[in-house]
Amino acid sequence: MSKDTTNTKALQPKQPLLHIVRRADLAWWKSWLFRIGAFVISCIVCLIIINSVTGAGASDVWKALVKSFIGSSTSVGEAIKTIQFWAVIRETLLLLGIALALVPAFKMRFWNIGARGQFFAGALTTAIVMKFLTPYMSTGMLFVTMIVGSVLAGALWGVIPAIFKAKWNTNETLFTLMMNYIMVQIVAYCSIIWAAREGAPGMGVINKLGSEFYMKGWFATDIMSGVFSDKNDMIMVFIVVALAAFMWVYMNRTKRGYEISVVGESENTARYAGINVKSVIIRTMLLSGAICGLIGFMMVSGYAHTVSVDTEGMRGFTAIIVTWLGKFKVGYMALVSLLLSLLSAGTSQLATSIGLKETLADVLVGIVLFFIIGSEFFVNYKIKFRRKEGTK
Amino acid sequence: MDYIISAITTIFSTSFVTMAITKGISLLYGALGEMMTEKAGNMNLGIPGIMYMGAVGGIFGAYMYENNWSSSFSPFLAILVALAFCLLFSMLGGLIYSFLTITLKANQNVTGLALTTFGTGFANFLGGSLAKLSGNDGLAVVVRKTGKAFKTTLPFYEPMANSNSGFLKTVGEVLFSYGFLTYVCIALAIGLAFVFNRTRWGLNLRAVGENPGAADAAGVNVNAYKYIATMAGSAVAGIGGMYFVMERISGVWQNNALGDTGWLAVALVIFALWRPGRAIWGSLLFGGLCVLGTCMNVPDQTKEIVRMLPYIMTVLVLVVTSLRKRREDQPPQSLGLSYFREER
Repeated sequence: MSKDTTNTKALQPKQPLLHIVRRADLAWWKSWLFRIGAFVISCIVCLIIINSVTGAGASDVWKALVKSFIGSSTSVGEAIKTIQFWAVIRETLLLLGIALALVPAFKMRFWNIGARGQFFAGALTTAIVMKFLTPYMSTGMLFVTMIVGSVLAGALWGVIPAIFKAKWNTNETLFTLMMNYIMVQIVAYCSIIWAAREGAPGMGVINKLGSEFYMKGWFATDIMSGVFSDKNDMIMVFIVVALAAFMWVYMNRTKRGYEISVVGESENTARYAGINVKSVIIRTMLLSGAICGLIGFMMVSGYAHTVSVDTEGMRGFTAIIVTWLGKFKVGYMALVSLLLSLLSAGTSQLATSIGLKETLADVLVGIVLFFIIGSEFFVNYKIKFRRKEGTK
Repeated sequence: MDYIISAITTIFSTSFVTMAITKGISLLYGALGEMMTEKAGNMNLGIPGIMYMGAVGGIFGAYMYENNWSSSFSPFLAILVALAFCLLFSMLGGLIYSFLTITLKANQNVTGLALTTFGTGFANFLGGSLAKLSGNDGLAVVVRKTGKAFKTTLPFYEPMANSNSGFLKTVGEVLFSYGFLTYVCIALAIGLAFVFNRTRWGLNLRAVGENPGAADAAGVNVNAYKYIATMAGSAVAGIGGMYFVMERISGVWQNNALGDTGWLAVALVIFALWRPGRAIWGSLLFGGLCVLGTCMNVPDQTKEIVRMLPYIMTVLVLVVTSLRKRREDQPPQSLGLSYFREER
């Protein structure tokens, strides 16, 4: 019945009311206007929600946000010494580090959503080395072993789906997703058999302060403690900045990086140009997994000093969003990571200062993400309305 | 060897079978929802979040009904209210996903993961607030009456359970001791298998998932199909979340109540090769593997290894199907890609 009517309707030529076209080019400041606009709207929505839940006004929220970033300090000199400042920086660095690892894979259109597992592979290896090899090694050797081990473990966990993708075109999104949960269970297993105490979740702090192997396998935290405090994470800053520089050079200035973007644009073109697509896929995922593993090492050795199923804290998934929203560009990705870290730090501060539930943090982060994700449409597409006859 | 004997004795106990079935059915709901979405070419990684939203929707409706809206408790109305809120919340999640990925053509993986973050946070926030209201130290929401209403069994279960025959008792326990949503789910799976493979609507839906350009050229309204499939899929997955809290844990909400149920449901879709019929026995297998560790008398670390099995089996299925390259076993061709008519 409906078939005939739709057919006759289709025959009548009528312009649709809305018409969507892809934008050829948009001035950079206009595209940022869209993004910032979306962000501002999302902030207003969040404020309304916070206000309706707790009754707090915008100024209270602002105060809490500032406090979450720099504590109660009043000058820049004080601010960069606060624990809060460094907590946000650390979170930003972890997110940015994983996001950097995902860049080559995503540029190749290989949806590596297995950063969670690859991160855990590195984190677990680091923890195991720290726990069992400390008595047999000097501090330097310990670090070398941890780094090599975590890089290899991450690369291994990343390359398994890549080999299957390259050889048999196995769906990489689903494969890497499953690899995450296999690794989570391995971590759960290890943190039970090596539990610090009977029934305790996780291995407990490995190489505790004051033990015989004081701080072995830990990053020193007092670098440049004159400028910052002795609780800063400057080593993490150095590592991630070096990674970012490496990734920029690799993607933009090397033949291998170029091959990745060709494979991402069109596999057929790549094959025609004589690129060995299979080896590019495998090589790229080795790199991606290795960096995820390295970030896992950084987290355990530099901050967590233990491993449990909560160590990763969903950063692997959040980093996917960071990479995508940051358009694979280091600067943008750093900005998005900072924004997300600030949001989560801010909402936990709100929890203590104005009695907001901490679980609302994810809701607010989600809302901000929805708006930013949605704004990309207006950057990439233009909506044209139906014009009247004769007008142009 | 001891483990194997322990596993075998566990598998043949009725309590294990009933637990496996209730766990399996909540996975089956999630998987059917994800399957509908994926058939339309939308890879919805927001399903775990949507299941959370549906679960807390059910709890919210039930809590409001039990405490605020009625003086006398009617099981039928309680179920209705809980179901309505469950559908409302989960379809809201589906709408956000659909609007962003279909209308605004956003990346599906990114949107899905953001939705999972949002949905989980939303559920924990609302659940936590209700828990605070109900005064259980802010830890749990209890809606036992509605939970009991959801677990109302078929009329002939009672006489079977009370009969003297051990055989009848066992059969009753294994097959008929569940609430109506369990049977609805099986019927839904069979119904969906029919719809996908035997109706015009299902053919069009699969065409949209395989090659939206061709479907569009044939006069199929691609966006309408994608919207309907995604929203309906979200509703079904949401019911799965509610089923989990109502039937499996009898109407109790705690933070992160669902655990990794949502991701297991996504795994089940792959395991079932996008076929609802296969998903039925797949869900029993997954449910069994999930509860096997809990039921078996083994150390905690072994339980964690047992919990790994569903994921490993999914990987194996994924690998084997890609090796065999049978066309009917493959994921929908345009899964994960958004469709823009002017770019073909």
